[in-house]
Amino acid sequence: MSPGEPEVAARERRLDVRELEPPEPLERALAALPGLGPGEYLHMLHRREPLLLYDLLEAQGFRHCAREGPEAPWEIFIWREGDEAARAAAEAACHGG
Amino acid sequence: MLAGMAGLALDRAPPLGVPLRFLLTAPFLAAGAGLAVAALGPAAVTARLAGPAVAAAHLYTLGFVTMVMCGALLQLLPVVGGGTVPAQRTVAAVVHALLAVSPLVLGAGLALGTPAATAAGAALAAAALAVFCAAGLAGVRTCARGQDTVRAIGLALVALALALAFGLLAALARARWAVPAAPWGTFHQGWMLLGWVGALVMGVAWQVVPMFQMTPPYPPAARRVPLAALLAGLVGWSVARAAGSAPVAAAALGVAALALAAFALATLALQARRRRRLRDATLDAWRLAMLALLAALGCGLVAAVRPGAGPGWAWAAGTLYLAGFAGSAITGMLYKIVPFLLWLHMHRRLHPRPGATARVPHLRELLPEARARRQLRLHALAVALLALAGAWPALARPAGLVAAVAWTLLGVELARAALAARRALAAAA
Repeated sequence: MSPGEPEVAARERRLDVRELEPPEPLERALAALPGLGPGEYLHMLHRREPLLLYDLLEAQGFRHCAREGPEAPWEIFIWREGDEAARAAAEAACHGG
Repeated sequence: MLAGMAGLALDRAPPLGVPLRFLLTAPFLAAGAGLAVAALGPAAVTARLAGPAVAAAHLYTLGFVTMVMCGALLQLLPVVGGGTVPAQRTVAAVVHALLAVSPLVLGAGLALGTPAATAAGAALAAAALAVFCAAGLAGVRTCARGQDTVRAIGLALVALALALAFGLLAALARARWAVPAAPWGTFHQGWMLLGWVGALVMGVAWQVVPMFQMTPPYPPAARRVPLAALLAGLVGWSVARAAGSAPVAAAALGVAALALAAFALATLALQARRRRRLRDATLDAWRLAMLALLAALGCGLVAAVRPGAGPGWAWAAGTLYLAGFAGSAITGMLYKIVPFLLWLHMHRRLHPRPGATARVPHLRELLPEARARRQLRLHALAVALLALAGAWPALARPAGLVAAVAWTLLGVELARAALAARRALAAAA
């Protein structure tokens, strides 16, 4: 599987963009988000904090939680606004993992 | 490790039109400078301090280099430093118009030997740079403190203000006004080239090379030592020149040159350690920029230690620095920043709310890599021919023509990207 391609794992979809140059991480994330099913959240692995993405997420009806490490310099968990199951799972992963 | 790169605040970015007008206009003024060199032919090299050659140099430095740098700074200060440029829309409109017109008026005055036009062009350019320096420095004061890039931008703006003052004194002396005798033109060139261009490219590189070229970050010492040495060298050189101490001035200028060489070597070393091995026009443009900087410093050294070697070495140093170093770094950045600003603008316009489905073209669709590479090859040829014209002045004419075609092509590619974005927006409306 090439870097940057989402893979399904339970309720989490992972997107590793650490090896991609800007703004490809942004493009890949925005392309992957509409495909999130109920209860699913996107787990992004990034080498820097994608501040610009946050701005665009809000406009498109998604929420996020971000943390530094341990799997990547920055990890961002993104879910669709109003999807409570996805929110709970993403926040548990963000704060707990 | 990445904390130094994490502080981008792209949601603070100014409206698209603020930077874009500078970035889309500038290449065509550079093309004008290429045509001017072609028209002058060998005289561009052999009489490089005569009016017509000075006119061509100003068309390039004001109309292209400074034009792009002003546009880029209006974008960078809010995004990188979190600062606010006061009245940015008005500043952008006024500075852009003045920077587009002033080199043409100044150039016509210098080339035709018309003092009134020279004075009018100088006054217009001075107004543009004074407004920009004031707005830029006010913006720097509102930035978060302690960032190396913001420090470099501040130094570059101070250097620009000094270069402007020295340039005006040189212009007045040329017009036989009674100004104190001093090598004002030399001071003007030193602060403009090494201070304004050198410090700004350095500070911008610290951000964009790791970010866009996927290299490790510059170590703090590789940022701070060259910047401090560049400043110390420029100040020492100016004071020693004014005091008439040639050996101290030469040594101080050597310190500034070593600072730039250290920056070039650090950048090349980082590029060799980049994480992604894909070819990329911006990466190649920045490599060319760093190699040209080293070559320019080498030619400058020969010109300094062997004054009898003829004007060709100084010409080669100047063209390698301005077209090879500054021109290539700017070209590389334009290929990244223009499509990115367009893409971001389209995203915000087409996806303003949840559920919007209009397709935003990919960056590579806006400006295909193959077209960027084609232009870059032509640019590299132009740089080589311009430098070689130092040894063989007969090459100045073809060099100027190739440069004019390369810069025109750059402007056309960027304009095509902007038109593609406009079409995509219109189709979605």
